[in-house]
Amino acid sequence: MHEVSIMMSILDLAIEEARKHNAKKIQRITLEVGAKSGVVIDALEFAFETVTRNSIADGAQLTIHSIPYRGECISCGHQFDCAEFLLCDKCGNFGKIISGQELRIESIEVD
Amino acid sequence: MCLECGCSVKGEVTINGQKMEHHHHDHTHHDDHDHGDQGHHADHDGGREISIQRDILSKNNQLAEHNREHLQSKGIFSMNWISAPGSGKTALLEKLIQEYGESLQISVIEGDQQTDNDARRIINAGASAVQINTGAACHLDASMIHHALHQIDLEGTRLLVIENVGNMVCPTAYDLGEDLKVAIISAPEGEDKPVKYPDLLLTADVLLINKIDLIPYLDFNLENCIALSQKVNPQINIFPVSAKTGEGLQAFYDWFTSKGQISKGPA
Repeated sequence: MHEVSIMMSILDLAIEEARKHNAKKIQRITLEVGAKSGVVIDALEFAFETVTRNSIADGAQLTIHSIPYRGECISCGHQFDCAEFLLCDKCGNFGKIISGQELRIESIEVD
Repeated sequence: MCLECGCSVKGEVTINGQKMEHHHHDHTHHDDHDHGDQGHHADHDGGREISIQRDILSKNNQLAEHNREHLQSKGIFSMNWISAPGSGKTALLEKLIQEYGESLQISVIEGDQQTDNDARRIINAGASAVQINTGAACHLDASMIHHALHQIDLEGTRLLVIENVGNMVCPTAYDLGEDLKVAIISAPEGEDKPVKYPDLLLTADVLLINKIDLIPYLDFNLENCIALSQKVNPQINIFPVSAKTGEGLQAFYDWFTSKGQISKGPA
């Protein structure tokens, strides 16, 4: 539900960077979105067109690299993919998060 | 719903009924929207890639850090309470104020879409409160808290509780500058609630399981609920409580007052 607000933050950062580089048009915005970032990619894509309209990113492409939710076992050190739980698929012990909470703007392509 | 959510409605955010005015501090980045008309620049050289590598919420996080420093410099311990609507956040706060209000000197920032009902409940319970109305927005952000802090008697506050907008998804992404993020679920919501909405638990320091006085009337197994919660977040601290009877609140109070950041104060 907060994807529109997230997308506006993305556009703010993108425009700020584009200005620093004296660009007049943003052609592409590339993001890194973790599976556990709390953001729905479909909703982000939906928000993108609306939020960028009449800005220097109007008509730009949105590229999203999704990052899997992964953990590392606190007892055996094994790294594993998580579905629901942060549990080691080798020894069954608890793990700590090593990826999946990313919400980053990676790069922009400008003219 | 999506299009009604977020910064597009910031102009409608009110604090104690007054429209929130945006102002900027020198040390924060400006966040003006300047659409279109960027003019021509001499060094225009065609398509090129600019690496940014920044957290999308970095501006919110900077403001949150500012709030955190501000609160800590005043010796105030702060919590951000997040739950679904109706889990009993305000009732728990009323009980906390009733039991420990005098020693803790509690101030509350209330976040709701509309009405100042909750702030009035807090004031009636004997604490001070500021009401933020978010309009259509589904979460509080660090900027709203920053503005609300200007309305609070910080010198007369030792514990600040921010009661977020009732929503288990969106508020979890926004750091407000709190010391503790507290998730609340209640027994009638079902014992599998921690698994159905895991993102909140994953980022929270504490889970309060409220309305345990109702367990005899429900198909709710407290042990199962705790076990599921620990599978989602092995580090989370769990306290079963009842806002109705006060059961379990002492354990929570003892725990957070022993964390070193807040003392029990004058008995």
